[in-house]
Amino acid sequence: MLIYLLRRFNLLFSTLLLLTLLAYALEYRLLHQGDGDFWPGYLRFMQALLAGDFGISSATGLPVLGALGQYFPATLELCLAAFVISLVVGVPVGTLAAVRQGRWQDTLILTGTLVGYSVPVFWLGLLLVMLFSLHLGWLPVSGQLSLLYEITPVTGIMTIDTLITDHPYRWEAFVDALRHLVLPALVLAIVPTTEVIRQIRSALLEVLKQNYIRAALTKGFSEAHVVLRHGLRNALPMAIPTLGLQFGTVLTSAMMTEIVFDWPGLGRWLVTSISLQDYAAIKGGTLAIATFIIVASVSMDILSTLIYPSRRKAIYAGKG
Amino acid sequence: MRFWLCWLSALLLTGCDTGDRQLAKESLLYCAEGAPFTFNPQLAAATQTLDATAHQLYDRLLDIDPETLQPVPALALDWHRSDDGLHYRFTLRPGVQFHHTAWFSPSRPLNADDVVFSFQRLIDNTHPFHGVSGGHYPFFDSIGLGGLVKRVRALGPREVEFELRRPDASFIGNLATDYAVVLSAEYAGQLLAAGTPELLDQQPVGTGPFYLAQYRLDDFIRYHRHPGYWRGGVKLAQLVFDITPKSSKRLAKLLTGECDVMAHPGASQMAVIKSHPELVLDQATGMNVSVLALNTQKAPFNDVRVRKALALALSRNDILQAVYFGIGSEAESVLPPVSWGYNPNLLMPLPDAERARWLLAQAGLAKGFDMTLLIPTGARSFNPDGLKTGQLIQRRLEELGIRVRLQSLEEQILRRELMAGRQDAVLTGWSADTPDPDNLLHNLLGCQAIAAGTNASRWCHPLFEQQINAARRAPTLNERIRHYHLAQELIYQDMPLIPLNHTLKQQAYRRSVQDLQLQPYGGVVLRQARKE
Repeated sequence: MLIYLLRRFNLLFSTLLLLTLLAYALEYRLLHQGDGDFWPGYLRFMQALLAGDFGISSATGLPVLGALGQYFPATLELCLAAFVISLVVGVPVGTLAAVRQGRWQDTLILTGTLVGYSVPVFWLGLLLVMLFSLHLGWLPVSGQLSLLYEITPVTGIMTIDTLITDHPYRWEAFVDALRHLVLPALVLAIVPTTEVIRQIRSALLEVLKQNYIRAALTKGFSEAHVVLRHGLRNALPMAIPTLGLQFGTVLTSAMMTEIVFDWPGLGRWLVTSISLQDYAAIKGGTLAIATFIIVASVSMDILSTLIYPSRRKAIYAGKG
Repeated sequence: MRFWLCWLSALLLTGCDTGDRQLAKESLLYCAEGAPFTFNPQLAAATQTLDATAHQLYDRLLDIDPETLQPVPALALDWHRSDDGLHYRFTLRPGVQFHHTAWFSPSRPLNADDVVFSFQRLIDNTHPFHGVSGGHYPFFDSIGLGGLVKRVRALGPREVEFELRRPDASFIGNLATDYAVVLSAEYAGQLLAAGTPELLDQQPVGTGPFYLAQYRLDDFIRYHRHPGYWRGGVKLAQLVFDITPKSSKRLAKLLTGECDVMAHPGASQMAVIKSHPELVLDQATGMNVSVLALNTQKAPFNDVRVRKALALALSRNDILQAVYFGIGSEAESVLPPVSWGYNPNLLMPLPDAERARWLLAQAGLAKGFDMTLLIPTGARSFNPDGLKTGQLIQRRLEELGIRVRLQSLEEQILRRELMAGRQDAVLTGWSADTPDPDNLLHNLLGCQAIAAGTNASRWCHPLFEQQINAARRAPTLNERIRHYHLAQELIYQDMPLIPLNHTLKQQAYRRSVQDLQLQPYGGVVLRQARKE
């Protein structure tokens, strides 16, 4: 286990180091036109980064780190909501597809996932806005919270902030925040949901072939009982690590979703920074996102190994 | 479980129909097309900055009456002009309160020091605040206020005197523009002592109907009602500028009620707005012009034949139909026909590619040339879609062998380019701040406006300059008109810029919004607005 952890951390740090090197090389080439010494400059750059100094935004005149702290929670809120939706929808649908393998339900679900996977995020977003906001008038077009409510961000996650504030209309504000979250989270959830369905389906099919499932069925347990108690429980550990890797994809499509829905998160902030040629913000933003994705996928990996020790076998086998 | 599901979905669908109605009634959501890049209109050149700041945060010595178009008292109770036209004396209104904000608590009401401070900053190069935030005051630099006003001094706590170097008929009108706001001298002193003078333009303090409560860059501005406002009667408790650059999204928000008022609706959206029973569309004659400004200091545009060839190549009617959907008119001059200075005897030539080709050949450019056309991003009050206009121009010029590269630039970056004079050509224009023709002519073509970046043609013509200066000094209206007619003839002959179109000023809002005035000049005024 220790060797495994060391290997993972090694991977984590070397990737991060490579990332900072890349970021600095770009900056060195673009801003300093390649004059001066590269390595001493890189050292200073790293020192500043480690001290939390991401530079000053030329658009606001404020530290980039503060902006990251302000916009990142909004992106996180969106991603988490999408993840929850994808699990809530994906696990039962994936299970259904596995149980009904080869029948019309399975075909329908598989076709659905293929369509969902190939639909462009921004187009789907616009379509949903047209239907639910403009035509039916059920949900707001964009934003994170109606600007009527003056909520001071504490965590930056509006569904939490609206509940902990002492605003007289905090309950209405909370409902409003939820209403704003629905459409972007649904759009963002499309791709990970299709992935959850496919992973759960294939993992469950694998498990259902096992002898103990047959044994349980011959014992006279109902099919539903066997699938839920024995099948799904053993299929989940196989599916979860691959789902963890989805986080990078989700974060990338979150950027597009944020632009469609004017969600005040990192993606929209980055795009604005690019149009304002705010180099410090662009550098800080990309570094932060890349770091987050690397850290998230490595920790997901470690976490699933800790929870399901059987996965370790694969690692030791790999050690050869 | 089922109960909770039903309850939650009911809540989601009904939304804010219950407790927060009062809040919605006291708040106005204004969907603006862009973020202000300062909170001080003195520094502003773009309408989005003026809309967001000029009438919400500040007051001026004088206002323009929207009906009579004459100056009326605002912070100044009355004013007196000396017989030689060189001295203007203003008596200030007593007891005008500045904003109490998180960053400043005023200890006294407005007095003469504040007025002196606000104008000295503009005209005095040695003033400690003159160079703060860049030291460029596009409007006042372009009309040459520094050369006109000799000094501003306080004669008493409520008496201010402006001393001019020469008589100027447009002076009083210019004091009523959006740019001529009065700032707090006390606040400025405090900032100077703290070593942060630039905050004067970022964390504003004024005497206007609202004060700044919250600003999130490129996202929204939240204003709260100024409780001690001298005019009183501000119905809105909060005013929120929701920054929504895309006009389709502004319209969507207006339709769903996420916006109460929408700035600059696009011409293509008129039909939707008119057909919707809950929306109101206001149109007013706008005194504006959109132009293609050619850099007359740069080859090949320093050749009048090339400029005339371009003017002959373009079809202003195409642009009017495709970009403005026919709402507006083709421009025959920089001044629109509603202006009293408009010269009706001048007409722009009709498109004539043959003649344009001949002129280019005369200039030795029969094979055409390459050029870059700069376009401001987003909608402007005088041009709803710069990119589309640019593409139409590109198509027309291609026929003459002129290869146009379009480059879309953010307001701030564009202004930097224009001030440096690096451009070939730029799509620009002007919305008049006063009914005075001087406002358009001076800002678009005056010599002083070159450094300010508003004269994007960089055209400084001694005869033209002579005419517009003479017009300012002229004692009678007839004489002023004569000078403006001559000035327009000079533009027509030299064609430093190609006037394209005039359009109407438009504003769309929800029927629940009342008492919204669409001003023919200047930025939006929301102090009287209320909701039902």
